[in-house]
Amino acid sequence: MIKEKLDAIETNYKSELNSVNSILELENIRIKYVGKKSELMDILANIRFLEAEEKKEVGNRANVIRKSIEQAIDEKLLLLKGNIEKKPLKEILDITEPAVKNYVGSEHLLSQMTDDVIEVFGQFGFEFAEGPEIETDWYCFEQLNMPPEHPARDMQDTFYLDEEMHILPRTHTSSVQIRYMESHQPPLRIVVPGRVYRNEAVDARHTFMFSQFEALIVDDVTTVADCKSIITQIARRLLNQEQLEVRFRHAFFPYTEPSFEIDGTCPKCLGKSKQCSLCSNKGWLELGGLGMVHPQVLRNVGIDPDKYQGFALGFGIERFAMIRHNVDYLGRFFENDLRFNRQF
Amino acid sequence: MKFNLDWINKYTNITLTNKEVLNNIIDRIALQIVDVDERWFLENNAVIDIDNKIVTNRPYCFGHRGMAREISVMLNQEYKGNNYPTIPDKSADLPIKIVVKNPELCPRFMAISIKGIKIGPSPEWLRNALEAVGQRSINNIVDITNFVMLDTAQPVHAYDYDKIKDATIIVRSAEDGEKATTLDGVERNLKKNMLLITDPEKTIGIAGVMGGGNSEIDDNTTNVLLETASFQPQNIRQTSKYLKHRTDAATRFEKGVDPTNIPNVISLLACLIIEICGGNVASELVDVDNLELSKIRVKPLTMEFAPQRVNKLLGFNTDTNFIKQVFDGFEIKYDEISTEKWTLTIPTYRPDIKEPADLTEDIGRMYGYQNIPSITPINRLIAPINNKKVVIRKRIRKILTSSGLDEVITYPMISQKDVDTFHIENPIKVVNPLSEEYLYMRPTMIPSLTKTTSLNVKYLDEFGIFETAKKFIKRSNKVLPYEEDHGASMLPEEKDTLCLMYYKKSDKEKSIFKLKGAIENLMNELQISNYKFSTDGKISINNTLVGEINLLSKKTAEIYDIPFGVSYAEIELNEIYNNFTEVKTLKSYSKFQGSSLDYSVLLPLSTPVENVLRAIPNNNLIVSKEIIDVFKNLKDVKDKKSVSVRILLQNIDKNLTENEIYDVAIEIEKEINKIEGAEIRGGGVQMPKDYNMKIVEELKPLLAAEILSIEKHPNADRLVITQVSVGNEKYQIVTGASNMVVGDLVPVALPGTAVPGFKNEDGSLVVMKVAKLRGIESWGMMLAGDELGISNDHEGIFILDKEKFKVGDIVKPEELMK
Repeated sequence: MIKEKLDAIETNYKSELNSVNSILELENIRIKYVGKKSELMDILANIRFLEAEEKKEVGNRANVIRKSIEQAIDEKLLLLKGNIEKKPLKEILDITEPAVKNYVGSEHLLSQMTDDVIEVFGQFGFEFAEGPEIETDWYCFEQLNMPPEHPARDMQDTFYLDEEMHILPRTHTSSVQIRYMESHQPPLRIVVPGRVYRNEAVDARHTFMFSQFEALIVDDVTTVADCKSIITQIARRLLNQEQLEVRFRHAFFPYTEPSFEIDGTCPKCLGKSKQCSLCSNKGWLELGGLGMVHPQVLRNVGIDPDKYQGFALGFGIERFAMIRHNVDYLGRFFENDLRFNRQF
Repeated sequence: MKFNLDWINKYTNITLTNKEVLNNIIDRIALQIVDVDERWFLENNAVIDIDNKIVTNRPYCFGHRGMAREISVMLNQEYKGNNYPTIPDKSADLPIKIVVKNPELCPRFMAISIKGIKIGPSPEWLRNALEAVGQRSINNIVDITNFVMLDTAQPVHAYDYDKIKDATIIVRSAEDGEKATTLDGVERNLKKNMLLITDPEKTIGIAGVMGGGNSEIDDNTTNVLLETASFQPQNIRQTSKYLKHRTDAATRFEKGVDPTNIPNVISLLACLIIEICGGNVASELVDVDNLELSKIRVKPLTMEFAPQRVNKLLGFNTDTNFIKQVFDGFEIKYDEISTEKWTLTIPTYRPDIKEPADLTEDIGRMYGYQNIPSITPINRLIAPINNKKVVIRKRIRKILTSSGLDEVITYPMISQKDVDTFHIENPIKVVNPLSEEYLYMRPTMIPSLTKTTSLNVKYLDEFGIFETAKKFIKRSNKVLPYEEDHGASMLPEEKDTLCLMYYKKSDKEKSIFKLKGAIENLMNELQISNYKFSTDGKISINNTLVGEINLLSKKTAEIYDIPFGVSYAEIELNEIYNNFTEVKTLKSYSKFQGSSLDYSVLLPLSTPVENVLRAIPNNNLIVSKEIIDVFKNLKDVKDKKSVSVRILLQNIDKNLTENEIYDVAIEIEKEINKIEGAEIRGGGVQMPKDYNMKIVEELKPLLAAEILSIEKHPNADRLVITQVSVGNEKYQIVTGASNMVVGDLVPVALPGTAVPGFKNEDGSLVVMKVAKLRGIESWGMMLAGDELGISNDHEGIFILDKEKFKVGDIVKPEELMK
């Protein structure tokens, strides 16, 4: 009797297993054949009532069947779980053959850097602003505390577009400060990236066009100490170096007082290397200039310097890109040799 | 500008001899040290090189005494730089006469003569001091004048007394066209307003810039005339700029030296000469003092100062004692009216201090900027508004790069060759160009990208580039006087512009269609639907011309050394800015099965293929239509091209029926066939043979039909099958009416005729079609009163009066109402 039962179980489970198409069905089969209340388990549970010899024979056979059922169910499960196609990929095709792909172009490194600048400053609440690239001396110099005979105008060799020297491709983005402050009242916070022009011969560190970003805060509380914190964080993000520190050096700009040049620790060696190609072992890299907006500049745009204060900064975008991406000379940005552009 | 620390040490109590001390000072002083000359450490001395622009507003820093003051204030040490020797009494006789004709340009001129000096080499200390800061030793007199300038920041000059006619110096303004030869042997053209030092017969120097060769000290000089003067800074700056000759003297005069210190400086000069070169004072100390006439600050400045402002600006607490210490060091007198208000007296050597903010700088500098804490500001949180133009330009870059173009950034200046080649009109010229290559501000970006292409064709066979930048257009408006608008009306128009270029070696078609594809992708992604390419390459958005696409002419390509196969496009962004929608909103799409209709259409070669798309009528079922291929050079038809067009049909809320597809297909085919010379060569949809014929082009009128026979419907008890005649044609109509008999004249609506009495739910006409009623074809219907729209009667078919109508007559319902 028991032997016939076992025979039946052995043949039935095989045929039932063959027709299984889902994991759910498989589970039902598991319950039916090897579950707690299954016939097989019942046989195994009642084996103790058998004669010793039969007990052994039936016990062995039942256990063999049980194992083979469980194994068969496991195999079936693997198959159902997606190993339907068992042929190895390499027998079907050679994946090392070239891919089918569309060429994706590159945004100019300076555009990428400029996007980062807008984004990072945006996180600090700076709004984007822009202004004309061709400016009047009024906005570019005069209103920034640089009257015609001011020696500071010498610092910025200027192209002129008229004989009277009133119209010029702007030498810095600071002109936008003035335009913005003329039409907005504090508190204000802007970031102004843009192209600027200097009448300078082209060499490794100079081109007659480059990009700057200007940032300006005017409110009733912002101090030099605030500015140090903000610029430290921004330099860290832009140069991808969270350990970077900044130092302020004394500088002179007519439109800020006091004025500073900012150095950052070399993001490559953090000032710790004796042989650093980026900072030439100096440990510091010049990042740009900033200062507290000169009271006269505020007065010029009708903002009361006794009530309001703030800082303005002007950094070179190329400089940051050169540091971050190890670009060796400034001219590369504007040569547009696609072997350069496509790398970024 | 170099400073010798040993020299500085003489005026301080600090000994700056080793590197550690020096580095400390450099950190504290927060100066930009260009270079420290290591060589000098070996001799227990160091030289620091400081960038001029750091101290450009503080003239005293252009001398060692001034720099010594900086350091002693910083380290809170005694400053000993105020000591000057006193000139011995006159003990010889070489009278001098000084005439200043332009006192506003020369506010002070002091002079004295020394008799019996001996020219020779300088003593070692002097040579060393000068050489340390990079000055070559020449002879004792010249070296002393250089030393005095580097010491005090006040330039001085020594003339050979005997070379000055009548021992008379006349300071006067030059005339246009005058010439003078300077110490360096160069003959220079002068111009009005340049200040000259002359004697009654010749020019012996250009004031503040350089002495003249004709009054130079030489080996035989025994008597000297010493000059120490103050000149108007702007005038010196203009002169040296005009002459393109910057001298150490001019640099210092430009910054504005302290005119009240001139007596001290000339004393120092005279004493050093007597000490080193011998000789006796031989004239009175002449002092032509016109300081009252000058714009230079000659008296100490008084101002109010609020010490708490310093902290408010710097962001940390400096104690008032420190502020006092700094003021004491700079000899700024302070009178504490209250804790919040001090009255300050600024000495004349600090013309840079004009208002309290300038003192904040001094205090911060002396405190040490490295000591400024970094404090994270607590500010109002305001999320900045996204700037639309930035968003658009960023998207443009993303879309175009994903179309396979690379972004470039080019110089915005172009050459005469560019202007000529591209026939550019009215570009803005740079008055002082860097070179001929960059002579004009570009009013178009095409030349710039052409040059970029020219560079890259050398190693690439196919590529696309683009740039977004400004182009500059000269305005034709009226220019207001500068005083009125500060130049605003002179500014050119700046247009944000996108320029694209594509190069495919020897394949102009691929190049231009790649470019067109990139532009179409761009427009679609920016959700600008209403753009158009005209057949001559003009690009417009909402019928506003925004740019053009074209092939670079073969001749232009040759000029720029580019092989055949370049196309370009230039698009102004303004219209894109105006029409761009930042946020995309969901447009519903159907989940029901759609169907596509493909046609291949033969078109005359000269007909724009786009005409096929335009011909396709608007229909709710048409989801999209596009040209998928164009074949030219057909074997069988030489004068035509074949255009494949695909139209996608879909219902929003249900599956398409065959009849719907047939109806749209018929409409489309009809319109395509209207294009002159067009012929549908294949495609479309397979429809029942007679379907096309049953749909009549325009709505047919109702007709009077005679009933020829009435039969029972095999599958429906309440329907009958009638055969009717409208004259020369017979039709089969199935109807449920039973009031008519054979021979009656009835109004019938054949396929293609609208039923006048009813409308579809959407308001459209109910147009008869061939239909099957219980398996039997029915060609239209016979109409009851309500169906005719003349009554509510639906009981039976309206029987026509045979006296009024004949078979085949047009039936007008409104006439039946009479």
